[in-house]
Amino acid sequence: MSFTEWLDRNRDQVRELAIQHADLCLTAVVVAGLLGVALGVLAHRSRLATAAAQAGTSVVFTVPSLALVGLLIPVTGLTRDTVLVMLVLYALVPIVRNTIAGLRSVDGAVLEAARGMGMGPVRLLLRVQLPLAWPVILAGLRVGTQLVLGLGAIAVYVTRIGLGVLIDAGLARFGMPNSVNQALAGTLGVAVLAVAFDLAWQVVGRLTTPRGIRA
Amino acid sequence: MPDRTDAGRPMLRLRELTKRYRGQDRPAVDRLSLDVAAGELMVFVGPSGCGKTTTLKMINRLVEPTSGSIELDGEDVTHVDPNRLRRRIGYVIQQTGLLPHLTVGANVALVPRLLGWPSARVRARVDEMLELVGLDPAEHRDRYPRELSGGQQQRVGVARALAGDPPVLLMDEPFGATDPLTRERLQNELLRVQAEVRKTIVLVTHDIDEAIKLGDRIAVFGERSRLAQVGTPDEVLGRPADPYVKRFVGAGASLKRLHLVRLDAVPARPFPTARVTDDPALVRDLVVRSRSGSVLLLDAAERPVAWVAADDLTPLPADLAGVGLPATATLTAEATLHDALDVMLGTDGAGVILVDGDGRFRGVVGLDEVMAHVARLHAESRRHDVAAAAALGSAEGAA
Repeated sequence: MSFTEWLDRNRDQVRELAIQHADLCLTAVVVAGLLGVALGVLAHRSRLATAAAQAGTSVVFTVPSLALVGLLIPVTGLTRDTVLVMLVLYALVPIVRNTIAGLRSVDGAVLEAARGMGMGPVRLLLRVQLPLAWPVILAGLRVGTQLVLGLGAIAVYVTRIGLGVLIDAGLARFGMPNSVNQALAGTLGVAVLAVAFDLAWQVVGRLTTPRGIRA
Repeated sequence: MPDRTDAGRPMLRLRELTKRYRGQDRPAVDRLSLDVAAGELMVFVGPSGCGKTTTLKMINRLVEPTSGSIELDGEDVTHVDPNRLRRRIGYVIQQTGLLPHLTVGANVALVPRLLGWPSARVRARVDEMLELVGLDPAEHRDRYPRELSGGQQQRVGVARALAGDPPVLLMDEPFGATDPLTRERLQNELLRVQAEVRKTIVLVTHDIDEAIKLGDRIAVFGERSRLAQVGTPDEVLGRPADPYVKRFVGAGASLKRLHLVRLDAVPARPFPTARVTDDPALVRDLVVRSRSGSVLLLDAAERPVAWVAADDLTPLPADLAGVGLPATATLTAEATLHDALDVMLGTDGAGVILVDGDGRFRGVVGLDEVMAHVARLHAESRRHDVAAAAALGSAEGAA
């Protein structure tokens, strides 16, 4: 059976798994985005806190994803939550880093002028620092999204959700009829989602980046 | 000379202002006391690291003083909410610090919005301020800072600082980053704007020439904010308080003083004139009889047209249109002796033609008149030095 024939017959299952995958990853990115930007904002002012936040999130990268899952299972069990926590932890790394880098890149003269005009710290953050750091933060969110979409495939080892299900099943039955089609569908599915999410981020970036600082 | 600030009540009073940074045994600013009168343009000048910028930033409390007090318009503001204070004090910095993600209009509107003005008033104010600094509101309001030249950005910075109608304006090396031509234009514009709005301005610069040009008074800073001298530009140039100020003012103090004297302080010399419509033969008689061997031709509105010498009238032309050397070296009474000297050295005419606001001939100022005035300035300084030395001597004698 050709790949397109196979895909046509299993369209409903593939679509359902893709939606699960997208839902899982989107949730992880939203949570990591809120958490990561908050962490970055809190940390960027002090060199010590910056170092701590960067080291803390980087440690995550040194732990292999399966090992991290293994560490989480005793706490959250074989659930979607375990996968979600793992994905959030990974996504935090680029988001926190870029938030700090973005906030630090804001021109000191701009901050001084804004403070000199009587803007308090909250106003300064919301009206000046975050808007100006936004393109860099956005880049962190994009990288985090790509990371999470790829890693989302190993959710299948915890609980049978996402496009990983297809990849796992195809590889487990390798050599059997349609095993390659199945694994290919899962892999391509992740790639398609990755492209779609990236396009979405580009649109968001276009709509939310102030015209005066657009590249 | 009477102190120009005696009449004004102080808008700013700095008392024993001190800033110590942790880990430094010497204070950056040490017990500085200074008054700035309402409507006065006070320039802080000194070498880098002398504490002039630190002092400036203590006024709007971007740098919190370690001790001492700041009074704004009679109110002690040393401990009030700094954000509210800063909305009453305009602030202009060298790098402009315009918010790049906001339009020019939104930048200018920042402080009025922080002050909670109604939006119609904010809009009107934005246009008013842009016009004040010479930017067409319709053309510039909706543009972004990066679309403007450096000079235009600095103008927007000034418009933004004035938008909230603050009584006091602080300017930290406002023109330091611009090229000489733009700087001169911005300086002239600041003087024009200041003549219109009459704010109390404190301006920091390391450029003594800028200080002389802009300041009503100059505060010369020495090491650790020691106030070496506070006085009018003429006092600082003509009577430096100590060798440090003398060195800082530098060579060419006499030449610099010419910047401070307007042309109307020098008596213009009358000069033989004739009308373009006059009979050439009569004009030739006038030329022959004149001391300088030339006559200035005026048009029907008494505006200078040309210098005419005997050579121009031999053979005698039918009429005087187009005859002689075009008289282009004209200045109004607002110009300085420095401008006049510059024009004289640039043209080889009999001098500078003084005209009124409508371009009508008023007289001629030559090198002799300028030199006579310089000699007078020197004599005054010497008299003052003698008087000061005598006063010092009698004070010591009494002690």
